[in-house]
Amino acid sequence: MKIKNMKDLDKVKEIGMKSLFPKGPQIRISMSTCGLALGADDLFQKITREKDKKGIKISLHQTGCSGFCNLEPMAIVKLPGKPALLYTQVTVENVEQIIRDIKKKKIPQKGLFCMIGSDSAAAKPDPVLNAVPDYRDASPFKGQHRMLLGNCGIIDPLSVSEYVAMAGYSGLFKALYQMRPEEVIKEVVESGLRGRGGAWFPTGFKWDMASKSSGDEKFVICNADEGDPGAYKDRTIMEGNPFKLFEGIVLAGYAIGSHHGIIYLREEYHHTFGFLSNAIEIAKRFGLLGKNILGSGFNFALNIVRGGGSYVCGEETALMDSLEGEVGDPRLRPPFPIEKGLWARPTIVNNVETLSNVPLIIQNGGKWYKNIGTEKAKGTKILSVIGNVKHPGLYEIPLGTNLKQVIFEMAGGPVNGKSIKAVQVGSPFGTFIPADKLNVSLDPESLREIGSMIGSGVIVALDQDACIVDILHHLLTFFVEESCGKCVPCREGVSRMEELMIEIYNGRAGMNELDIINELGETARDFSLCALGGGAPAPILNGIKDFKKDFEAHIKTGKCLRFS
Amino acid sequence: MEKERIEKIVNKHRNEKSAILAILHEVQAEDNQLNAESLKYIALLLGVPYANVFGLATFYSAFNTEKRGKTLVRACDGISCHINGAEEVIKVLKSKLNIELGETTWDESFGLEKVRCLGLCSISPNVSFNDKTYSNLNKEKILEILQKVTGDSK
Repeated sequence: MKIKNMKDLDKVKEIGMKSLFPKGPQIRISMSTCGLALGADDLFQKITREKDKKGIKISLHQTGCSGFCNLEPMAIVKLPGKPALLYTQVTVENVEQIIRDIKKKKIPQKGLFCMIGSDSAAAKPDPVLNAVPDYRDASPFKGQHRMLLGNCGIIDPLSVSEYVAMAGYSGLFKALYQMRPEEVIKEVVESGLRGRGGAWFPTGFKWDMASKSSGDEKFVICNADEGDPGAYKDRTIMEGNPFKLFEGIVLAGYAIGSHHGIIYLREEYHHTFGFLSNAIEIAKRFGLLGKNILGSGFNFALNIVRGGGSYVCGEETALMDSLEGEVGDPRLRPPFPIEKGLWARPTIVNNVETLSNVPLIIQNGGKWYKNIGTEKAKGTKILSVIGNVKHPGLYEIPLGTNLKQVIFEMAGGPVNGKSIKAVQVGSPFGTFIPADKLNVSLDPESLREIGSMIGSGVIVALDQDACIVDILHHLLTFFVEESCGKCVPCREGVSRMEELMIEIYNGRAGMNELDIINELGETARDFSLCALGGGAPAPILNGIKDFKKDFEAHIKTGKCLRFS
Repeated sequence: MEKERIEKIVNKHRNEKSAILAILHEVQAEDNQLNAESLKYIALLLGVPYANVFGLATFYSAFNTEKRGKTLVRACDGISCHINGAEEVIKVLKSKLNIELGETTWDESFGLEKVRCLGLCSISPNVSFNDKTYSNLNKEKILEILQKVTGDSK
């Protein structure tokens, strides 16, 4: 059905509420890329077979990823009158017992992790659940502010009605019916939202300028070329709550006067491509994309384009080249994309996470949004905390949260009694913060003060066994492979740095070579055309300065601390 | 690939030059390669120089101008996989398939590639065999998977 007015929206909401709070028993299986990698499809089939065999009516849904892939496959079991219960690492072997329990109206015990919405009025207390924490108090969810990820892993990502039941599309409805485009921009400016892809450019300012650019055709590009190794927040949003992203894209289009959006998706996300294409078709059927959106008369078409596996295409001007069917080379600026972007038309390029913030801002107002975060950095940030920590995963935190708290309390600190050596914040371009300096606020300003950056939010924790030379060697190989080759400082400078680093790694070079790396790094940093060559030297220069011991070990013995 | 099949794909994209990435993806998905003959014909149909199309096919790492294996093995070497032992996993893949990264086995059953991040960083190291991904790998697990997969394909 097409949603054409408030009444339709309410009707869809009602359907969504019924599906989220069903009368009968219900099971939800997390079936994102990660769930599938760990056997969620087998699990889904086994549950289907088993419930049919036992002849019980259980409604079966799929959900997205909650950001903790290591707890997959996850399942949510909802019994009538009980809170929804989250189970982790559910295996095919558990299924028979789960179905038997559900048949007896008993709560399955194996793999029970936490409750979701234990305070909901419909849920009666149950003694079996006394020791089971609510999701907000269960580590690794504890301490997070999950306003973007909150529905991921809980709602059915392809169900418009469930998204609407969670207040979805109320922002777009409000904008299309009660606000002029400039008022939408005003709220986004007021909110203080800045680009989450890594550049932290003020979103409202970008939109304001694009809205004032002349041209009868404008474009909204959603940058889903999530290329920073270690990042998977955009994938999680896209697979866990795609309609929120679409709502944000349409809001951006309405604000700047564009009727055409493109999602540029990274090639490596095979499953996501099919999944999002499907979600777009569903949104069209509900009148949420295409002509006459929500019955307001506003038209907006959305397409997905797959990239070709090139990291530099995450840079906005290279991305536009790629969309035009060219090799992805960063362009010289000005002209900026807001004046002459895709096909020389005014264009805004925003990251998935940035756009997903917009529905919340319009729904609750810019004033509400700017209460979250620090004085200068507003809202939350999804961090991808990986490496040597107990609970690697996605942590959505208010900007300004302490890094030490994230590493040691939220992510559980290092494993096997080891200690943390350093943390690279904003990988791959961020610097390595030594263990004794982790007491720092996670926001762009505080990190800049200590010479680091937050980037797209990849945080790599390294324990005592890690070797910085090994990591730098790894990073440099990546930068060299992904350099587009257009400008000399990046193409030549970074590859020479890599060559020298390999020599050092193998113990065939001395301290003199370190000086040459430093010099090359400074040149590439200061004279490269785009952020790839300009950003690549930072972790290298900092690593050489702060982790001399690691270099000495390689230079003197040719041995890597990592394997000693 | 046969000209008719290429025409069908190009027509589907209304002969638009901007759709060239999608066209290359689809031709490669059908033919398992983008050989010179196919690229030349795509260039002709779209009215762009062959050099440009060849440039795209070689710039983007997702494209292959030589025949890929029936099963494409993509070993992730992102930062998380690296920290958790991707090197060891890649070593096993190379020695068991008896090829280097970027190569295809003699019988064209397997191709081996390195990718930078499959986006499954908290269950690393990861390796995908076509559309099936295996996670939390180590030396023993990848050996077991290889045994199963090579057994299936023969």
